[in-house]
Amino acid sequence: MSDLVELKRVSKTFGAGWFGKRTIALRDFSLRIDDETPTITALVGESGSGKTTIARLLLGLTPPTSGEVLYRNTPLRALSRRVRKEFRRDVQVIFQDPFEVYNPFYKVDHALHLPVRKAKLAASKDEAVALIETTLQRVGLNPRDTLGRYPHQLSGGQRQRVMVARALLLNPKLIVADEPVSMVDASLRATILENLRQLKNEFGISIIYITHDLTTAYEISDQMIVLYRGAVAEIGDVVPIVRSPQHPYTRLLIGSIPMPDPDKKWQQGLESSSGATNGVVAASDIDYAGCQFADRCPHVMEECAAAPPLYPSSEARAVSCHLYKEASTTVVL
Amino acid sequence: MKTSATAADSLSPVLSVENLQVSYYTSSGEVKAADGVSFSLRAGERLGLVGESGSGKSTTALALMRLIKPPGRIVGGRAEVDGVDLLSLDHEGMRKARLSQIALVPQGAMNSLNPVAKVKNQILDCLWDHDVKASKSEFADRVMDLLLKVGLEPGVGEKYPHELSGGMKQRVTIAIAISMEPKVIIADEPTSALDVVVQRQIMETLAALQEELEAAIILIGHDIGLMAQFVDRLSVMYAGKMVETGSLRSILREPKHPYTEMLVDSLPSLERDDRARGDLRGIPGAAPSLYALPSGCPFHPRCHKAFARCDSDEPTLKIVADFDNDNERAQKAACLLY
Amino acid sequence: MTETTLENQSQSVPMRGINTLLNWIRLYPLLYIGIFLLLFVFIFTYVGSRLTDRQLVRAGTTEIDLQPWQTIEYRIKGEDRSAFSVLGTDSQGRDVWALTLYGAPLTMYVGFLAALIGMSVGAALGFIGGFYGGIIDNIFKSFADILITVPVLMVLVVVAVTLKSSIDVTQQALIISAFIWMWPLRTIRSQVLTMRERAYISVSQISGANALEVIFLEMLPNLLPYLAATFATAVAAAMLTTIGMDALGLGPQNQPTLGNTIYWAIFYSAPFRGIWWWWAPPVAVLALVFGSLYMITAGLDTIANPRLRRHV
Repeated sequence: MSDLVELKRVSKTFGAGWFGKRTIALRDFSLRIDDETPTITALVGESGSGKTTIARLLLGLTPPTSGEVLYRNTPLRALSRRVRKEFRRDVQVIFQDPFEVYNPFYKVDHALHLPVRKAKLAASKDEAVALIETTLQRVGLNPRDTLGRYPHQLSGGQRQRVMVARALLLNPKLIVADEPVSMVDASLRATILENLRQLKNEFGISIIYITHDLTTAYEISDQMIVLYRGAVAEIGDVVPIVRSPQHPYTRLLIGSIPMPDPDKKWQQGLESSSGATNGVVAASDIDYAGCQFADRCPHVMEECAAAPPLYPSSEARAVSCHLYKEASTTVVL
Repeated sequence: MKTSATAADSLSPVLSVENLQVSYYTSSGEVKAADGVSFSLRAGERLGLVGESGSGKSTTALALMRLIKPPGRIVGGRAEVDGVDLLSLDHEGMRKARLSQIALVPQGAMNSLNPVAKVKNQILDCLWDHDVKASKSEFADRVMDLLLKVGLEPGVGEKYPHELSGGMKQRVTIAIAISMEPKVIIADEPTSALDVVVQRQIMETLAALQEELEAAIILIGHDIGLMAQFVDRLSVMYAGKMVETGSLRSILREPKHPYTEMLVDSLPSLERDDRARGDLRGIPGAAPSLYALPSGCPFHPRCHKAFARCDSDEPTLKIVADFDNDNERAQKAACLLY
Repeated sequence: MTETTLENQSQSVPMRGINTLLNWIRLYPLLYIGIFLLLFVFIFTYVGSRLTDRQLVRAGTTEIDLQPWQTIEYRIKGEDRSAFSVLGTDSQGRDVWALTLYGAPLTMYVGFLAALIGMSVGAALGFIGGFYGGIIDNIFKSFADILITVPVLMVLVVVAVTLKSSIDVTQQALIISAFIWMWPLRTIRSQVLTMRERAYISVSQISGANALEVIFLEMLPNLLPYLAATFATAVAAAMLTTIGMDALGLGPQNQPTLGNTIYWAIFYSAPFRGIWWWWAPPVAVLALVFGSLYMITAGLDTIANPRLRRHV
């Protein structure tokens, strides 16, 4: 089993100027995506949790402050020109805003022809058009309704699916999908999520699904990483995490999700309301190295001043909380 | 959370909207952003207005506040709060009616607060605007009281908006909205930019305040989950028209309009067991452009139940289920099936 | 039916390619009027000057201080000529109508040339600095920032004095261009800086586009209205500077530029002696040119600045 991409103890700090305020976007984060078994991994967190930073690191759009981003065991910064081109094809992206990703000057065709031309996927213009049309059909779009139009003439769902087709053209191994449905209307959301599952099942592409929405993450992913303020809170298979969340933050998060069911109202007196900070993210000291959730946690104890490692709490699961130091699989709470 | 249906003891509506028409006049012609929207609300009642972008839900909110900007214009209809038609008030009358009769909690608090004024002064401005007469210390007390009500420390009054988190800013806009104790509160996606934990806290605050004021509230949004937690009644909008309305439970349990049905079906859920996970059904096609509405029922090109008459006859809201024998509150759908 | 409506919709939104240029004009009358006015002034004066005896702009050709609207006689190399003087003559025996016709294209030429050079240099540096950032960007930016604080006219005085012999119009344009490239640099740089963060730039990079393709294929087309607006501003600035130089007697003295005409009018105290026909025509032409340049900039602004954009 070889690693396609690996983040090795990566940290990212922004604004380390002379006077600028420093923010730590990501703390000591590791992640491996292997080449063989396609999986959908969800990165779940609120804004400022570091999930978009992980996307940009994986895509090579920003360098890490410390640690390494590796492509087939070679650091990105040390890739040769040739291997870098391979990396560009192997690791693709779907961004959040399906309008912003199109250059307003061009028809949507431009976004599809560019990768075909740059990766020399077609020998002639006709071949390029044929390839683009088949790829559009693969994601369930009718080329006649899509090609030759400007981005604003397509619906949000169509725009996002053209982007899925763009990524698919390059035949990648990994697609980083950064909030791909958060700006798409509810009725079209399901189609895009279906497309993502199809990418994995039919084309064997692994997906990093970045989202703030735990519900869609539950629907489509295999594994889940819950992030809080740049650190991992909980990691493991999706179903057990959603069914019995362990980290106090994961529990708070799942308890706050509004269920579309009139008989499943928010439970009264969840831990959230008892939080002294009342949902206000305290301006924590930048060099504070303890558990990031300590200032909101109802179970905070002295040990929390030291950052908790990932304690394996059960099979295929780990949680970054001192409550699970004994590695017990049953939690009484 | 306690539902406030019991608070609706008085049967006469506090807000009644009748045949509201809002159009935008563009170089490509007239666009009917809200077309014949009608509903009524009793004191203490909570109505949810859901729809996709362009469905007319925000246009309806802005029209009730009389905040439609050119090239848009309110073309017709009535919107009465306690018998006074907001749409026929003069400029000054409407200025007075805002906050004291009807108030808006806007979407994206970051853009609706003045970045160069202290929170305290922004609240005071609203009071002065409505000719509230009080001594200096009474004003200070009132500001403190409002901040405490929305769950903020009084010290927040001395701060500028950029010093506050997104959730705190949204709380400030709620404080402003309730400052003159309005009879109707419109909350236009008040938590769309916030994280779920903060969203829950804000909605709980809003619910408590609304119950205290016995105000009617219209929650506008696209998140049906949030609606299910908050509202008593739900109205679904599509392409500028209201296509279904009824009690929250009946709409979610037994949607009648095919659009509502498909919308409810397409919702992702944490409830599904492992095997059914990911079995999502989207609605085919895309919302129509308001420039080129299909003839007949605007939903018919995407509808799996469409039949011959759907592309020629325009459906109107008809009662489809009525358990309480209450005409106003019955479940209605605008679909030719009924 | 759906097809046609979609077409109409696309036309209400500007910046969708070259074939919608005509629609821009309909949408932005200010721009259209500005361009028309500018072209009119240039063509009218240029063609007019070709049809006018060049001798009339030389000193000592005719009687001095003649009132407008009369036929004048003059004698060159023993040959008697006559001409209709629309605007009378100045105190050096030149025909003011001829001076205006010859001067306007000349002054506009200096302005355009200076702006073109300054603009090209500034835009290139702005693109490079904004796109790559880092030290190069800092050097360009600091240099521009320092130069912007320098009072241009004062430096030009020193330059003109140092160059003992009188300069010609092209040299004047070159000198001026050295003092206006900073403005386009600033505008373009800031635009590139914001555009660099746009998602479609990231997408093109991830699709494999290299730096040149990103600049020329992704960024440049969207900056065309900005570039045009910056250019129009630069032309106005350059023309203003030439007139300033000329009016101080530091321009190309043997050329009948509008600035020189103003210089001589002031030199001979024309405004106080009531010889309005000497100073008013060049001032009026300049007002027209500046007005049209302003309209062009304002018109382009509505295209480039989304807040002023008129579509829905």
